[in-house]
Amino acid sequence: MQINTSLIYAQRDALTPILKPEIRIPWKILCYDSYCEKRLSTIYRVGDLREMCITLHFNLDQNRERLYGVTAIYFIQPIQLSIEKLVEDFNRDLYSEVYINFSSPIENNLLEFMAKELSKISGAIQKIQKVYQHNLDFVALNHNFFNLENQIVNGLFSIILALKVQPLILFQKNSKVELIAKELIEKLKILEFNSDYPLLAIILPDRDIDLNTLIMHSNTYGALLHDTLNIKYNKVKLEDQVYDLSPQYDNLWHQACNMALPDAIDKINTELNDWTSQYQQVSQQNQEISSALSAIDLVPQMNQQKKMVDSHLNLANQLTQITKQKSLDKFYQLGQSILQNDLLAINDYPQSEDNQIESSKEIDKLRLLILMLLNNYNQQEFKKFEQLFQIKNEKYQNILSNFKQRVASNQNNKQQSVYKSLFAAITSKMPNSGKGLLKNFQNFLLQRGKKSAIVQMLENLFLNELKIDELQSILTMYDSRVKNISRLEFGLLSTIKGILVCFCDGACYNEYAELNDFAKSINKQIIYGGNKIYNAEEFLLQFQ
Amino acid sequence: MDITDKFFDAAGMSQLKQSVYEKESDYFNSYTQQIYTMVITIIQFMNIQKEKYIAKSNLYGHTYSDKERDDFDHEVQTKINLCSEKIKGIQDMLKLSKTKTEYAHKEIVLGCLICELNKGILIFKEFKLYRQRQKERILQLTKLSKVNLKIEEKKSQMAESDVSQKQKDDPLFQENQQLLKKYNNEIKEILSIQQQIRDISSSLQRMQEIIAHQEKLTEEILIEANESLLNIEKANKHLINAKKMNEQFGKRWGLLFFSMGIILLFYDYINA
Repeated sequence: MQINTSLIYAQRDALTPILKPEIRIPWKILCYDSYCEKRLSTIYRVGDLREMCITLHFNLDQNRERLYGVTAIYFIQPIQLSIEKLVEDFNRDLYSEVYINFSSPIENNLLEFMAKELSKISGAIQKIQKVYQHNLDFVALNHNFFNLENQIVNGLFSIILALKVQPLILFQKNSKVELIAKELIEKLKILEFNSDYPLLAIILPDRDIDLNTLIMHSNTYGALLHDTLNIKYNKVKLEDQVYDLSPQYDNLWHQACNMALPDAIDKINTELNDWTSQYQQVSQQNQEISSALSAIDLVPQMNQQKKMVDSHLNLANQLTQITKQKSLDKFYQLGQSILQNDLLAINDYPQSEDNQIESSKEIDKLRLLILMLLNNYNQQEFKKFEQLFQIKNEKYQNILSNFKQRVASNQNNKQQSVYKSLFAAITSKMPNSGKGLLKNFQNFLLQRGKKSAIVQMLENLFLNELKIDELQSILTMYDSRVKNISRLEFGLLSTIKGILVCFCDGACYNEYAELNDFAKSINKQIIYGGNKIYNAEEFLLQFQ
Repeated sequence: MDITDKFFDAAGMSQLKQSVYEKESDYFNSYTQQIYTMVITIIQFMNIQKEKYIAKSNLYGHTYSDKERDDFDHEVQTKINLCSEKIKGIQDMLKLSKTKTEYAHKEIVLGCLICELNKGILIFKEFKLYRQRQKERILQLTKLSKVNLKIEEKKSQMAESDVSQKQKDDPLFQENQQLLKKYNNEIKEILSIQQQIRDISSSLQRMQEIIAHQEKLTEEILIEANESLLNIEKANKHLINAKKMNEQFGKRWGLLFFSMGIILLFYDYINA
């Protein structure tokens, strides 16, 4: 049995019964908090809500008027704040019939609190038709891309239930993720999995294995858009217009997201040409009534397609302008050279004469410098570039000095190997064991610039029999079929139907594109995500 | 997972108590629910009958005869017209809204109903299209046969002089002539039906335009209602201010007359 559903459709299947309860009068309104709004906004558009006879939708924070005779569906997170707002609505007697849905299981004390507060209000309890709790703690950004919004354990648990899979959980021993993995395992032990469900290998690597992918410049359409224009829950704002990049409505985004920018632009142009030729064909078919009527039927579909192509043309144009202005392609090349330990010349950097443009490139310069630090670039060359770039922004200066200190302290420490995880140093103590771990990942680093560390890790795990012994010392595997820790054996790839990679300290579009390519090469579905989807600037600002 | 029972236990109440508010039915929502049910029923009816309507032969089950198709078209058209009339009636109910939210809700309900009805009209159009195509095919065949007929006529004209009395009396020949006449009549009928279908399709298009226009009008009504609400609020404020000012003025004039009255009395007293 294959994993035959995408995250988006799985989320939709879970949400649709919430939004279409069996009620006599079909019209209803929807109220949600900000947490649940994100879950809904990536799955549905306003038109979809209208088709389900949802006339109005409100955030709980909005000022609302009384609307009697109408059913209200609440979709909220089971936290004190949201419940208080719900109680406030009952106090104001806004709606006549209410269905309450929680995005995850509610704690008993909170349920009692809600019941107690509502019973104080006359007639409130009688209005409540049903109360449900669900497992919807993840945001599906694409069919195989998710954001857990810092709800890592609940989020992964929700994904496992939504996809209807049997999980094999692989995590690094003696790392920060071990705690998270153990918490997840405890939750899974309560469940009984259907033996027909397909196997999904859930890999929880430490972010330490690869910071380069988060920091370096990319050349893919999706990663560049996120870097420059900041994609927030599949929405991009450009000159007061918001573009919706939901893949279930935008086939072009679904295809072009992980393509290199030039290929993505070609794809957009091809779509535009196809639309133009179809339009010409249709406009010529007006001789007979029957063909004229069928042409009228095509109009809404063609309008939709045109809108989609136009939006990508605008985005691609803007992206191209920014790329040219900031020489992002050059930064990408320089980044790749650093990863391959090639020496860079000062002339390789495209200095602009316009001071304003140069100052707008500060974050890009910072990224290059940090890449050099992380990859033990030649100190003298590093200093030359640092002098050339002259970073003035105080925040960026703090970040750079932070990284310098950590790298310097790593180099002084003889017990630890040269490439030490900065993230671990900043956020937690470095474990005493795990020497093999670092050594292993250093080997990955030698090939850096060609493949990311996670791709190499997956290759070693699933394709390289020789590496399996080393990996056994690093990774632990929990098998939900036997509800116990199992030995990691080679040949896992043939038994599993898919792989899920989750980074608990941040994911990015760049890594998503790399894993997508790797998935095609091994002909397996790879689902990817993290606690948050960062662009480079957001990630680096944590190190202020 | 349904935790309704758990919630009611926590609240110390049984769910068996009927919701008082369930019984209070809002007229607008009940009325629109009926229209919605009617439209959905029409759509379901069309979907169920579609196979029979467009079936080409009895191999696929009972097909509709032309008369049955006509009856079907008439029934569906009548129901669509009825729903359209009822939807028009809802527009008056929008004015009865007490709040902006209520108005917006009712407007969207109206929009949803129009959308569903449009879906029904589009499905019905497919049926019409099917019949239109059938007629076109027949027309093409009849055109061919017309051409053949003309050729035949010319041939017969040329050979008329050769037609012997014996041939004219021939029953087969007469039957042939009768069939040709019948065929001609049917062709005329088909041409008139074709014209009728053209008229129907143009009226369907007009109906679509009207519905689209209605949507625009509804939007305009909403904007104007909002503006008039704002104006009414402003007018209210002005009235309240005017009333307050009036009261103040009233008091002042009253005081003035009173004091004048006292002064006059005093003057009178002094004079007296």
